[in-house]
Order: sequence, then structure tokens, then C-alpha cells
Amino acid sequence: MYIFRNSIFIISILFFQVSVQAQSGSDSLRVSGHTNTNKFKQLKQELATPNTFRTASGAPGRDYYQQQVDYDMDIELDDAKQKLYGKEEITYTNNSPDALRYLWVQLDQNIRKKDAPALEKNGEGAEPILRVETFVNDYFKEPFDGGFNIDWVKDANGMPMKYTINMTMMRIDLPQPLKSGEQLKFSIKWWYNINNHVENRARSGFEFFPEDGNRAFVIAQFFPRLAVYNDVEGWQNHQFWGNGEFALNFGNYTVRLTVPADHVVEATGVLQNPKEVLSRQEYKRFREAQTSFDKPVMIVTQEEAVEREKGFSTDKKIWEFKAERVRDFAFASSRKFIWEMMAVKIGAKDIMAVSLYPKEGNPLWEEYSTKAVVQTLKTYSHHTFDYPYPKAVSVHAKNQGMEYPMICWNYGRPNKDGSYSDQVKFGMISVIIHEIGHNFFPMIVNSDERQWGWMDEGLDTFMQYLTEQQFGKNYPTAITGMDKYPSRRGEPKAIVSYMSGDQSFIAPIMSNPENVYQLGPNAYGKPATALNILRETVMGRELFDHAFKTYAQRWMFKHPTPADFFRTMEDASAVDLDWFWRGWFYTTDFVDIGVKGVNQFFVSDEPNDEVLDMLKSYGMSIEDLPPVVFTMVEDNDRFKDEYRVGNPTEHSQDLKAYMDENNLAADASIKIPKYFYEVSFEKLGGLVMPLIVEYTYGDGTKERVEYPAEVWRKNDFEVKKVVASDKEIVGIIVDPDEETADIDPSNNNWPKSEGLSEFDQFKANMKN
Amino acid sequence: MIKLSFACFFWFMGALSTHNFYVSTTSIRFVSNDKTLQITTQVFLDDFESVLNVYGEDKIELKAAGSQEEIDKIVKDYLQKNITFNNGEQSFTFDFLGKIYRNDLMVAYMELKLDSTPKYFNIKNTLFYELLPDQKNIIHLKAGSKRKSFLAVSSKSEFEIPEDFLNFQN
Repeated sequence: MYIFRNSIFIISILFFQVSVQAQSGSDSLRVSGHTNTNKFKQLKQELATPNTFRTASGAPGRDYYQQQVDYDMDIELDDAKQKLYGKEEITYTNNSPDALRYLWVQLDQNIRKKDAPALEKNGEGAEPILRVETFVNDYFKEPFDGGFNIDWVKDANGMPMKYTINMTMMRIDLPQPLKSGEQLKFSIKWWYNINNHVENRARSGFEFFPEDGNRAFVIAQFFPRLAVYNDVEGWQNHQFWGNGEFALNFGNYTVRLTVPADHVVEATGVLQNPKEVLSRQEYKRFREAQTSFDKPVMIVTQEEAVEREKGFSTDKKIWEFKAERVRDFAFASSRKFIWEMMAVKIGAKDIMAVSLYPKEGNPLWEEYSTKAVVQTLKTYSHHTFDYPYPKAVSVHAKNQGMEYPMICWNYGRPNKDGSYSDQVKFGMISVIIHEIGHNFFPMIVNSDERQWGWMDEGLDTFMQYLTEQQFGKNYPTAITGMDKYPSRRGEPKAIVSYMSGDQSFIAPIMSNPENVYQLGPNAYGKPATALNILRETVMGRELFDHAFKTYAQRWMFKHPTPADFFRTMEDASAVDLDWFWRGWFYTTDFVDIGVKGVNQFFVSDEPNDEVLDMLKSYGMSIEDLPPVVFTMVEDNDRFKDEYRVGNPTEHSQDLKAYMDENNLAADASIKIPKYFYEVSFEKLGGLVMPLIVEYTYGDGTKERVEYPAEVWRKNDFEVKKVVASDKEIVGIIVDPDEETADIDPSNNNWPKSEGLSEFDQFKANMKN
Repeated sequence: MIKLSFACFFWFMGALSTHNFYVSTTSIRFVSNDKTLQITTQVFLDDFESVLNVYGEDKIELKAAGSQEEIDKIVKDYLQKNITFNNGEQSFTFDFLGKIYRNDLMVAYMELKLDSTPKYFNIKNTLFYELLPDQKNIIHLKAGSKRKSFLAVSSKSEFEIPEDFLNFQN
């Protein structure tokens, strides 16, 4: 009978709540139904169905495959005429289960064709104000005559192959289908005019130095490269419009670079003929560097580089490089380069950390470039896998930050007198960390940049943040006067101005890079911050670091998709993060959580009207109830001041009886709280976040409580938590350490302290 | 006519520039009791330096400069010229309170005292357009609990703030 009564009571309470909710809507029409819009709904509809290529755990499946594309190339650089000539033999291995009737080849240089549609991709119209050089370039000058000139495409027997060019993509038709497991050899001969990358701001080209008449070439995306064929996209032949970078196959490269005899060259891969191309002295230093672990060895000093600038050799030299398991090949070549390298131990391997820069980069580059390379290799390897390539090269190119396997271009140039500001210095260190870091994402964890810019930029920017902070710790003199390295991105606070911005100019992270308004915050800053918040606030470092490393190792030398990343992070941690991906990656929602109000309540000897009404509606009286405790808030009509006094057990007979029967008063583990609060928290932003609260008590002590994000799963707008304490609560702060990117901290305090706004604070300081 | 500069600019942007995009943020809070607009503008230091270097003969490095008073005057003149308020009939000039440096940013504080709550007013933001055609200037407005944001670009840099936005109960 007792049990029976108790269950009626519980049922009736539930019923009571439901009927109240139903009544409030009964005046108008019936509310129609809805689909599952819960923020915690699993991502089944957004993510591709797992299959034998890609598993539900986020790992490659048993039928996972990827194509292999090997290149053997002869390239010639004509410095005087700024032309590049190439002949490449391609060996394409079809590891897919499908027969291929044609192959797609990427012609990125065609974005510089005079009639390239990419030149007309924007529609902002006329500008009321323009820089003079822009105006002249736009309206007075003929556009640059760039793009590939394809001499021929031939099969292994030297017979011409049929091809069709559509903008930046070339289709090569095969006489018969290339079956699964088969290999095809063919060759392409081509040339193009090299652009000045400073004038028209490209990822590849040359910089001209009028003082000495030399050029520094940084050459990339310079040869026809096979597009990716896989289980996700089929042929990834989305055109190159400029923002979406590359989707590329792994392969082995042998490249012979013919350059003027007095040029110094660095490239993807290991130099095969150092004895032939280096002077005796340079070769000796080159050997020495392989075991120099404490500081770089100068292969070419500044004095030597300055001397070289003066001759313009008409002789040629061939530098041969071999690279294994890389997705691309790039090189830098000039008379102007100073060249230094040192060894760094990563796991069991000795890696060469290399810097290549014209004298215009000094004194900044000799001080920081190689240091930044070394720090990047160490920190990234620690968080992912041991860097597998033999070297990493940082090349100084004006205005450039761009990555290729084992080699990258980086900006950061001092003033002519050698002085430089902090911005230039930190900008340079940061860009080197970022671009060297790209070796890990996407050069080795080879995601599809053409479709998902954030998969490499976001992960890399996150790792860049960790590396910058480590750099600051290891080189304290580099950050003299600061308490830590001034990272531009990564801290939650730094993304607030973007996420609180005009919604019509924000796109979800899960967007193609061509179609977002602000690529920097969209593909770099926001995903990097999201990962930092996952690590510090949502998952904790231990779970996050293991899961992140699992992802990197699972997809090392493979092609992951966003689903593989999302699934692995959950699979390796047992943290359900579907709500996090849904909010941060699929929407433009922001975080705004605040404390709405605080109600103190007390144990009372009689029920309030709400309870009485409920009992009445079911024809019950107090006597029908099992032993219960009634509570009441101060502003209730039936509230008595005596409730404030003494111990709560004194105000409830049932409670007192229970304590006595079980002899709890004598139990030392029982603590009777004096204060009871119901604290309401509001969520004005769409993003779900853990609710981090700091309670301050009357005696000045503070207590930090983190309610899980799941607290929001049944009410996305407001939750109420009960705090029972021995001490009075005098203050409440939500997100006290500003770790959630909350866009409006003005509602984060109770009692509501407007606090001094940043503006008022500045004004107040002025008066002092 | 081919807009070469635009396409090439974006080509470059896919990688990483000093800061990938040229953006400034101006937050304006209307304090109805004082009939005051509190204006906070945040710009990248190097943008500001490049624009000042176009006007001045000497290369200016803001942070390193000896006399910040002189710099304050330059900053004030530039901001007053490029962030302007008017109500169609008259224009209003704000007081420049000062500026601070935060890493690679400069944050400037301005205050515009109005005689009465205006019927409406226009705000115009032309920061850096003379140098950087792709510059985007974000404007956040706050009046009581009301918020409004604008994105100013060189082809659309002026916005009207309607009267009902400023009239609210505190």
C-alpha cells in the first residue's frame, strides 16, 4: 500500500507538470509536431554511412584504398626569361576496385590564363577608391600571360594520347580502361611563363630585387599533377578557383632541376648529387651539418651569397632530388640564398632543419628561422607521430606563407636598416611554425583541401598555438617583457569578435573554402579555437591528446574526411561529441551563457499553494502523502520568518522523525546544510557548452563546479541547479576564466555587477 | 575589363598572410543617460602603419616611436577623418580619449557627446580604403539590450541608425 501510494504521488506530480504545459497553449490552435531538433541529436544524417572503406569508428576500413602516382621529371628554369620547362613521366597505379576510362590531371597554373574564369569569380562591382597600382593593373595593363602550354601527352610507346582541357583540369582519355590493380605510364611535356609573385600575390613565382638584378624563385604547383580518385568524391576534379587548395596523391618523386650554375637550390626530397652541385667547401659544411645538433651550420654564408649575386652565370647545373611518399613537389632557386641547416633528433631519426633566405631577411632570419623549424618538428611530433621525412626547409619569400612537402615559403622581412618590430618578428616565427606544421596536416595526414579547408588549416592552426606557447617557454629572450608568446589565434577570447559578428557574413566551418566570407577566422581561427576548447574545457588534455594522436596516426599517409576525424575523436575517448561538432562545425551559433537569478529556499512545516492545489486536484490531502519535506521560497505568502532560524530539521517533523529513526544526528558523515539555493542559468546563444560556475561564499571561499554540457539536453534555454551549503552564497560567476568564447560576459555575474566595461576602465585609468 | 588584382589577392589568401584578412572592428555603445556614444576601434597595427606611411615622409613605427603624444595626434586625425557621424544636416566630431597596444593590435577609445538623443544618424567608416580595397570594417552597435552590426566595405561604407534603435528604456 505504501508503495502504491508513493507511485500515485509521483505519477500525479508528473501529470501535473504536463497538464500545466498543455494548458498554456490551449487558447490557440493545437501546436503542430516537429522533427528531432535536439542539440544532442546524433549526427547520423550529416555523416556518411560507414562502410568497408571507412568504418564507424573513424578508422580506415578493410577495403580502404588510395591511388599511387609516381613522377620522374626533368625541369629547367630559365632565370633570364622567367620561363619554366618540364617533361614528366607519370606512373599511375590504380589501387581502386574500379576500372578507369580516363584520368583527370590538375593544371593549377591555368588560373593565371588571360581568360581564366577565376579572374572573374567576384561580383562586388566598382570600388569608389583604389590603390594606384591596383587601378593601373586592373584597367590599363594587359593581364599576365600565364598558364600551362601543353606540348604533348604521350603513352609509354611515345604515341600521342587524347586529352581535353577544362579550365584547371585536363582529362586524358585512355584507349582501354585501366583495370583495378593495373599500372599506366605516360608523359607530359609543358612550359609556362613564371609570374612575379610579389606583384600579383601568388603562392608561386619570383621576387625581383632591383638593387642587384637578381630573382628569388619559389616554384610550386608547377607541373600537371594527377587529381585524386577515391571512395568519397570519385574524381576530385572540382576546379581550382584560388581559395580551395589541393587534393593530391602520395607517390615517389625523382626530379632533376636544371638551373643557372650559380644558383642555390632547395626542394622536396633528398639531394642526390651534393658532390656535383656544391663546391668542396660547401660540401664539407653540408656533411658537417648532418651531425650538428646544437646549432646550424652555414652552407652558404651571407658574404658568399652577396658575392654570388654579382655574377650571372650562363652555365647550367642539374640538381637531383628524390622524395618518397610525398603528395607534391616544390623548389626554391636563386643566387641570393644564404643556406643553413642543423640536425634534430625526432624519435630514432635525425631530421635536417633547414633555412634558406636572401640577405634581405637578416638579421631576423639567422636568429629565428631554424629555431622555429626545430620547435615545430618537436611539438607536432609529440602530439601526432614522429616526423617521417628527412628534412624540413623554411624559405624566405616576401609576403608569402605557403606550404609544400618538406619545404615552405615564409614572410617576415626587416626594414632596410636591419631593424624590425615585434609584429614582424612574431609574424615571421608564427608563419614558419604554421607552414612547417602543414607537413603534418595536410602533407602527411592528407585531407582534401579543395573541399575542406579547415581540416588542414584548423588542425594546423591549433597545433601552431601549442607550438608558439612552447616556443615562448623555450626561448624566453624572444618574448622579453611578455608573460607568454603573443599567439594571434587559439585563445577562446580571440574568436569572440568573429563569432559575435554579423550573421550574414559568417558561414559554418563545414563550408567549401570558396564560399565563405572570411576564410581566416572561418577555416583557421574558429576550428583551432574549437579544438583548444575541446582540449582544455570539454574533454581534458589526457583524453583529447590521445584521441587527436589516434586520428593523426590512423590517417598518416592516408586521405581522411571530416567524418573520420569526428568519429575518431569520439571513438578513442568515449566522449559523445556529436553536439559539439553539430554546433561549432555545422552552424554559425555562438556561446552566450549567463546566470539569470538566484532563489534562496527554506524547509517549511507546511506546503505552499502549489502543492496544495495539486493535492486538491487529485482529491488528496496532506495525510495521504508519505513522509515528505516541504520547501518554500521567501516571497511565498505562507513564508514564516522562523524558517530562517536554526537547523532545517527543526522545521519539518517528517525530516526530524527520519533523522531520529535512523539515528542520523549522531552520524559524523551527515552534514546538515543551512542554506538552500535554486540558481537559474540562461543560455541565450545557440551553442551548447559545459556550464562552468564559480560560487563565492560568505567566508570568502570559492568553489568551482562544472556542470556537463548535457545539462542543456532537455531545455536549451534555461536550467536550474540546486546548491545546498553550509555557507551563504554571496557571488556567482559563469565561465570565470573566459574559456568558452562567451560573446557577452555582461550576464555572467550575480549579483549583477555591470563591472566596468573596457571603455569605462580605460577612461578611469586616464583620470588617474 | 579584367579585375586582375582581386583574383590574385584571393589566390594568395588561401595560404597565410600577416593576417589573412584586412579587418577592423568598431564597437559603439549608446549610453542614454549621458547621451553619449562610447566608441572603441580595434585595428591591426601594421595596417595603420602602412596607411600612415603613405601620408608621412618618415616611416612610422607606432609602438617604437618615442613620443606617443605625437602619435596620438596622428591617430586622432586619421580616425576623425575616417569614422564620421552625421544626421544629414550636421556632422558630429568625437573626442579622442587615447589608445593602447595589444599584441599586434591598436585599440583606440573615442567618445561622442550628443546634446539630445538624435532622431537618427548616419555612421560612416572608411578606414584604410585608400590603401586596401579589400578592407572590411565591422561595426557593432549596442543600445540597451539592442544590438546591430554592419559590415562596411569600400563600396558601402555608410549606414543609417534609425531613431527607434536609440530610444529604449534603461
